Amino acid sequence: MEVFPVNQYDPLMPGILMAIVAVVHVFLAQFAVGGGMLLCYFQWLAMTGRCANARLFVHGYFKWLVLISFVAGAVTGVGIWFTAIQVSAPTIGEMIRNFHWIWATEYLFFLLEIFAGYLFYRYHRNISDAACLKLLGMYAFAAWMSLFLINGIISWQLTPGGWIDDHSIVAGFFNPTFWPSLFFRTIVALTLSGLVACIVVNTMTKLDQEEKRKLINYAAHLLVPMVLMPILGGWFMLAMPEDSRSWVTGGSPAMTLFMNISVGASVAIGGYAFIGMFLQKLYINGATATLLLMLAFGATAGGEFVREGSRKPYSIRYWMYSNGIFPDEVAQMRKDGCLANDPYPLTDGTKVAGEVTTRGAKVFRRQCAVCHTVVGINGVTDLTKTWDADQMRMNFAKLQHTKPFMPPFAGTPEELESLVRYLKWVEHGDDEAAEAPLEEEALANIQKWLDAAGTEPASGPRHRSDVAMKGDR
Amino acid sequence: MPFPFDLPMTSLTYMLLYLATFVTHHLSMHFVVAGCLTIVGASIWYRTDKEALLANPVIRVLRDWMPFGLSAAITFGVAPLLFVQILVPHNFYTANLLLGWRWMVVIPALIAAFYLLYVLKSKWFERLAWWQRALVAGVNAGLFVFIGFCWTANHLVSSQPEAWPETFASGVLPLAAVQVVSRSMVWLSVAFVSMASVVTAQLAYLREGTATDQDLPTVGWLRWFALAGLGLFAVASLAAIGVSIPGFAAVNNISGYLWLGLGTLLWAGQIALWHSSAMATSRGWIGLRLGMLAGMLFCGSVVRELIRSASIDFAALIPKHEEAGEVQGFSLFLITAVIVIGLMTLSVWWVRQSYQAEEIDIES
Repeated sequence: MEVFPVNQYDPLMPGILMAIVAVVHVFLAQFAVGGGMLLCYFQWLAMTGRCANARLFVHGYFKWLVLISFVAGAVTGVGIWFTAIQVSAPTIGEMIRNFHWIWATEYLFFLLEIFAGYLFYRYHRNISDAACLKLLGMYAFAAWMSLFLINGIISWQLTPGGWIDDHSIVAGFFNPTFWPSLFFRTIVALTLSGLVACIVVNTMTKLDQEEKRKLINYAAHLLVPMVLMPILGGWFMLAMPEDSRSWVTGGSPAMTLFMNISVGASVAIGGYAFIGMFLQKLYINGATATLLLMLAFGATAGGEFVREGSRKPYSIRYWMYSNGIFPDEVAQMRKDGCLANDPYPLTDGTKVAGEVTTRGAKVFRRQCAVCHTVVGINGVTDLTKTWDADQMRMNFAKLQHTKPFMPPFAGTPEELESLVRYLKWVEHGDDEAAEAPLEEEALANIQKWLDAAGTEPASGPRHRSDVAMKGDR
Repeated sequence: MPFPFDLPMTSLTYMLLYLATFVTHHLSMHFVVAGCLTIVGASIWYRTDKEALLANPVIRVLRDWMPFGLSAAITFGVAPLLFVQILVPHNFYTANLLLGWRWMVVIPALIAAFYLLYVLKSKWFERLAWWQRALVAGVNAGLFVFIGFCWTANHLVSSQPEAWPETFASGVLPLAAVQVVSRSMVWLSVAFVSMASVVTAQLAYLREGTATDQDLPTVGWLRWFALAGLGLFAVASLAAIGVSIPGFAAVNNISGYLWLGLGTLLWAGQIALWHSSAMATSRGWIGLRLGMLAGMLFCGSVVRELIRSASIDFAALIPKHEEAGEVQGFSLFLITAVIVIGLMTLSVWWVRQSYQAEEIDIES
């Protein structure tokens, strides 16, 4: 069992960092994918004489794509790796270990995307329309293939599918949420590119309002596929594990809130786009287009939060818990303790009262710190302040039953007691109570509760541990 | 067999992919970091003659191509970042975590540096006073040097597992200034060699906006950059090996002699090609010189990994490579590589087929 140092960012929880970088990157990356398709469409409009200013638009739009997508999009893509390591090195390690050739294949398409994009950027004024269309087509194809391949890895985290039984990469890649997720993201990509187009058109000072309106109306065609979103969203929900679905449909208030934000923002954009921009062919100004794009950002953020959160209690469903512990390690850790292989002391300056609270702080760091702070966003002391010490002992011991989206406690009764003492000490500051000798009776009770709870998760199929026992990992 | 050819096939595959992609990343990164420093120097050199600065073919090429250079550096940097996670995952992740925020700052620094390169390319930059131009390019270069420092720190921390618990507790990185400085000097010195080699090639072969037939003979001064860079590179490399923790012991064997010897040959070959003013600016030698540079960078990278593998328990990682090698997808990667290379070639062919020197007026 490899143990990594865990950084705590109180009052921010590490998941927030991941979410910020991931949402920004996903937003930019999907814009890049949709941008390629939109440019092909406008280049075709220009070449067939359907839209007088389409060629001018293509060249203006591409500069934005380069400046935003090639720069911030590419760098935040690398940033996701950096952040994922900070948040959960075991998770990203498993993803890389199992899918590195898919990632390497995706990288090849990324290379092609950048290559074709820069060729267009560099030479579009010196080459024919047909060559421009071919380069844009190449760019769009490569960008979409990147999405196709990454989507397989990301959706595998939520629904590993047949991979869990035989580690078949094909089964893991084409997992149950792969197709709805791919189609949904493709439509999101088209939507984002269409909304950015509306902003770009408004920056084209050489055109009058009527000319701009025509371009906007063509851009609105990219928003029409949004009508399929409810179907694809429903398909995705049906393909989700049952317990994950229950988190987002009321089981977890935070997940449900983010889901509502995503759906609400999408409905607002889709309604406006379909009725106003497509049917009534309205002109929209830069401010309105920016507002719609901000709504789209909200929808993306909500969706990504839901995607990340709905995997709970896992970071890779049935395979690794959100705290980086493998399910089949729990039973062993109940005997040996979760600190047995942890060589890392507390960071200098960490406030503790003595030996027991030091152990408690380390247990917190090992098992809770990925998703929680001590005092801050999603702070455990806040979440448990209505519990007395005994309730806390029992609830932690039976964590997967008390809170089914939490992993089971993976440690000894002494470690659990130390965690309780530490959290109560943070809340009340009572050094004497925190460092008092551990009572046999309390430990026996904790052991009883731990035994009653078992080491299996409360939700989802149980056969995962059988697979792990085969020594596949 | 010398390292890395003494590794089992799976480890060797990952290691070769890592080394090869590491070199391509460095070539692009060198172009940008040395390019920014050159613009700082040129802004000061031409402080009373702005027109001469802007007309200088090297400065023209650098301003025009550095954003692309950084894009290439980032794109080419993704591949070694992937393979290092297979080769030394625990070490790499732990070093990332121990560096913490300092490591994460690389991302915003990179974004800022990227946009500043577009500023260097802009008309606005041309209107600045000489000291402002030097300042903008200097900040840009400073960001790249900082990013380089972060990677050096990451590598050094990852190679010292025994220092990890204490590093985590204290937050003080186990970095000796002499190691950081010597490694940084290796990187910065060879950056000028790469930049000079790439710019000379661009001026010889590019014909759209950045180069003319008359340019190539006028940039003979780049050879002084290259020669000075090669000299400093040799000294800094020896110093970096000497002050590394396993130091000379790691290279005092057949593998070390082979790669150091081969690297020295390629180094000497470059000196010979840069030494003559005629050869430095002749089209005929450009390809060979670039090949020698890439070869020398490869040898340097192997020596770097040789030292790292002596610093950590590399043998214990080999079973993990074998385990990682069992996953499917390698054939897909190889087939896709062939297809993508074909598609890239096709894209270039499309451009060449329809290229017209006269720009098309898109507004009409």
